[in-house]
Amino acid sequence: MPTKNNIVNFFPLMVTAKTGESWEPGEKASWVDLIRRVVAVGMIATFVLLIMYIKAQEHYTFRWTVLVGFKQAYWMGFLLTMKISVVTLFFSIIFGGLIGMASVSRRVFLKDLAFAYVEGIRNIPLLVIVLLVYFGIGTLFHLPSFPAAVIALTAFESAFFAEIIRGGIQSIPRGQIWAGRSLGVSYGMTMRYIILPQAVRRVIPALAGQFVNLVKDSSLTSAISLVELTLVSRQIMTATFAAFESYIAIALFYFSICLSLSLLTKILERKIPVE
Amino acid sequence: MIQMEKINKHYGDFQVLKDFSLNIEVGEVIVLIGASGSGKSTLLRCINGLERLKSGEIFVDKIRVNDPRADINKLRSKIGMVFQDFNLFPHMRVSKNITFAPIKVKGVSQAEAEQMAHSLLAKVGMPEKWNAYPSELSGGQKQRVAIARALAMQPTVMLFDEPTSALDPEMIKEVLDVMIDLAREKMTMVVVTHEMGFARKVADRIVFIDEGRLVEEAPTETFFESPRHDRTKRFLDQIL
Repeated sequence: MPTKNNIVNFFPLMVTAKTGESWEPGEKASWVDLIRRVVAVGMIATFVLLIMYIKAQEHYTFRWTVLVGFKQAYWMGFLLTMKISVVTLFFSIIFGGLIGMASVSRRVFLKDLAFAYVEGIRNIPLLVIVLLVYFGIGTLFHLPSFPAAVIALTAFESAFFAEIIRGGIQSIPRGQIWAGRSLGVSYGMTMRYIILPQAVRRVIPALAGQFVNLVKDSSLTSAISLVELTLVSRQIMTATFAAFESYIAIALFYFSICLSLSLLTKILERKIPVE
Repeated sequence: MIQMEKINKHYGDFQVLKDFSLNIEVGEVIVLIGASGSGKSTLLRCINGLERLKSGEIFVDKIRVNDPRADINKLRSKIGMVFQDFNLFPHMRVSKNITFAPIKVKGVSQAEAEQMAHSLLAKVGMPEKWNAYPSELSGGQKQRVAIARALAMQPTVMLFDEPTSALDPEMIKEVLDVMIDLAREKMTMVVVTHEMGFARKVADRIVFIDEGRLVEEAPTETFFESPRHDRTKRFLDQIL
């Protein structure tokens, strides 16, 4: 519903422009809002980069063309980044789902175990976990870097997926459990057929958001010599000494991947009704 | 059919039910009344084992509900329960809401479960809503589906927890009519409700609960015409 207001509001840097109420329950951003936000981010990024660029040129000669020769390397790096992310996503949804269910279990032991796991993981930096898995456990079991990266990332991301799943389960009214149980349905079956399908539907946007985090987090696996996007640019930097260029390029790569995924999430969010 | 012997139930330090005893015979319709927070709904949840007792005994069909060795799921499948806020499964169509438990719990075949669901939907007067999702139904329709869902397990007892309290006035009658039909078919029913018209019409006995205690219990007519306790009289004055 494009109105006169939307045209005014399209320019995000006009601080005076207002979008009506700042927040309403259950409100979803309209397409115009989404596009406007993308334009806003683009404008800010261009602005910052431009300043940096002009300032840097006083001391630094940009040689963007050297990057073109590494198209193949970038492509391979991108594929590996996506491979790590998708494989990790698969395992951490399963593992995170189990931990999430354990954290709402009536068995105190399971609940405590889930709590300990989530708190333990959330309070250790991912880089430390990656190094620990590769150089510690990996040395014991002769793990190559790819499985080590997937194990480390899965261990880390599962804690976050578990929290999302737990939140989803707890957002389902207790009456749903009562309704299931009062019909003679067992606890496990009530979970599986009644609670989880509703819970997962509610948290799909959050899960997708965590996937975007996962893609970014995967850059830390460059520390264990996995030649994904980040390590590719480090290597290019070493080979060409074009530090600024290769790191700006990589920032833009991650930015485009993650922004596309975020937008995809928003579209997904609109497609799936809450109930 | 249902025997309750001196049951006590606590939520933390708060005692919800105090030495509550009551026997309910096969085919009886019992209406439980009392102020909100008096323990009526908790009592219903105790009967099918959704709440754990601190002490006392409940027997349904001679099976001890609070026995850890009792097959609670089998027991519950004999006890239908209808809730104030319906609690239909929002991600399932009406048909699946009704057939889900018979198929998963009793192992009834899909075809047989669907046949029964069709006749139950007809019985509650909404055969055309077979494919609807709960969100497409009015409150009264939701509650009628919830009753059909409970009946699909072919229970011997039905528990109703304020089934009309969340409904708009014009929808109350359609739900009560279904319940009146059930009572005529000699279903054993325990109903928590504020609908005194319904109570007078179909209840065999009225039980008045106050602060977790059974204050007064009498055949319907006696209860309304000549209540014995002052507390009962005051309550009836407030609601009638």
